[in-house]
Amino acid sequence: MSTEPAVAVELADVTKDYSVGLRGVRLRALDRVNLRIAPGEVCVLLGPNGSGKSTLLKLLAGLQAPSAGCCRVEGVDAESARARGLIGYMPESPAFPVGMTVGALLRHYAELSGLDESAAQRCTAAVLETVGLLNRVAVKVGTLSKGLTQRLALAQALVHEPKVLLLDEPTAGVDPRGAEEMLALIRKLQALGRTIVLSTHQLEQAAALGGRVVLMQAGRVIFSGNWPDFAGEGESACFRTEPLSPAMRDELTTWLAARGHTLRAAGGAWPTLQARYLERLDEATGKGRSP
Amino acid sequence: MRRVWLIAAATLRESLQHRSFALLLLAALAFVAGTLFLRQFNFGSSELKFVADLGFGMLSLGAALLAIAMMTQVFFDECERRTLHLLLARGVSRSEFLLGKLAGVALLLGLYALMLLACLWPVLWARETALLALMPDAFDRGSGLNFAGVMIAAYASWLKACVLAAAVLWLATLAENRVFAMGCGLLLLIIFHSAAVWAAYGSNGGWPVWLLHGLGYLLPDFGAFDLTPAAFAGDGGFVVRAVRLTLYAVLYGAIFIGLGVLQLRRREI
Repeated sequence: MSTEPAVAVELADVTKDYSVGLRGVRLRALDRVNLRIAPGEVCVLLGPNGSGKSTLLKLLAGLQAPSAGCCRVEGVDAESARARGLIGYMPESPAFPVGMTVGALLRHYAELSGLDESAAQRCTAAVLETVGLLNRVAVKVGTLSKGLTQRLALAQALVHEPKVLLLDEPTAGVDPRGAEEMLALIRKLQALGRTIVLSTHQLEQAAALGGRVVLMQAGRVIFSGNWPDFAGEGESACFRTEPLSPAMRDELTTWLAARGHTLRAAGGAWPTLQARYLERLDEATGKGRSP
Repeated sequence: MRRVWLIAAATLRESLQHRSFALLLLAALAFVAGTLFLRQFNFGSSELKFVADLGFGMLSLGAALLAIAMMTQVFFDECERRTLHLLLARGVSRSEFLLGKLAGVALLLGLYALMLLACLWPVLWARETALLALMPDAFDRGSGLNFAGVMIAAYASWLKACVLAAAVLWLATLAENRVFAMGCGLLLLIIFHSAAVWAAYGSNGGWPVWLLHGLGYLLPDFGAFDLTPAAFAGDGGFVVRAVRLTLYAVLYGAIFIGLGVLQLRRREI
């Protein structure tokens, strides 16, 4: 009988308030967020800056306590000492001590995670191979490019072999090739059965990961589902024709209307994920977008 | 404790690479070595005391400045680089983090004190030998250099810098930026040196006098760490003094670290 919990990550009615300034003005970063992520699932957090993605990841990493509600990782409270060994956290664009070598830095983090020297050595070698930095083990951290530094950041999150990975914008500031390599690494970890929660602004690349997408705005979850649903594939159909004149487009609209359909959008390109993303954000704020 | 040691070792390694440490150390060493030129002024037997005062003054001042600069630097570096997140997310407690940082800076201060002492001791010894050759009756019995006394005076300066580092670390957990923390650290250095003066104030008078009087007793008295006269005193009792001062420093260090842990728990990171 398996002892694997049915839910790897769970947020139940989680609210997080920050107190700002000397007067302690309350700023709500998360507002009654509910989320359940199954073991081995990839969950991509989307949303504009300040929507609460990083705060959500920090709560799961046990760096902050929720103002209300509870966060659990593999069934244990996210702030507990036991949960610390279960998660690997990669913050947004971390910087490391420039004078340390890649190998020494990872061994340092492995030992801080509670591994003894020999286990730290073994795990460091394994994770360096996983992220493709084995040939840079003796290189000083300060000489690494942004893309390689991000890979090193991922490596430190993996070095103690956690079950759940929390990645805050792992492709931020990385060139397209570096971003693609990072996503390939994430796919590799996904295939190994790791539960991954990541935030990003790279919609097309994140969609290639599949799994669940959670769209956040102003601290609330405004969409949670799979990528086809997010892209609205079930809500509309797209056809490609040769260019249509305005008269023909009007005729087509009338023809569709007579049969109970609406022409929602017409243009020279397929609706992109970014367009759907913006539409959903506008729908949530009640702005609406003209077709 | 293993985590504390790991953080301390990493902090020491990183601090040693800071240019400010090398610059301050070089300046202090040059200053101490430069006291050899005081012989030009022909102070007679009091020259030795003068050299010791200058040397220990440099040790004390340099260690205090290092404590303020390095403690602020290592704390804010961890926050701004987001490596603090990496430590806390892997189960390092806030107290382990602060103790590790303090221990790392304390080791750095110890290294600074040892290096300065290694320069000061030969200078003092050379001048004492030269003065005794010139004036065999220059020093009364027991007024010459005392090796144990020199060691305890240097140890006291190191302890003082460690207490200051703990206080600055607490300030850093409160502060939003490093400039503010450094400024307040310098202010604390002055306040802690004035504590004995405040405590000596009569308690008669209005509330400001009462407040100063009370604060004088509450705050660490940095005057208690000035043991330069012990370098010349042959009265012994060094172990008792060292133990007393150590307990005094540990008490205040623990208070400041405790306050820092409480504040770091409240701080949004």
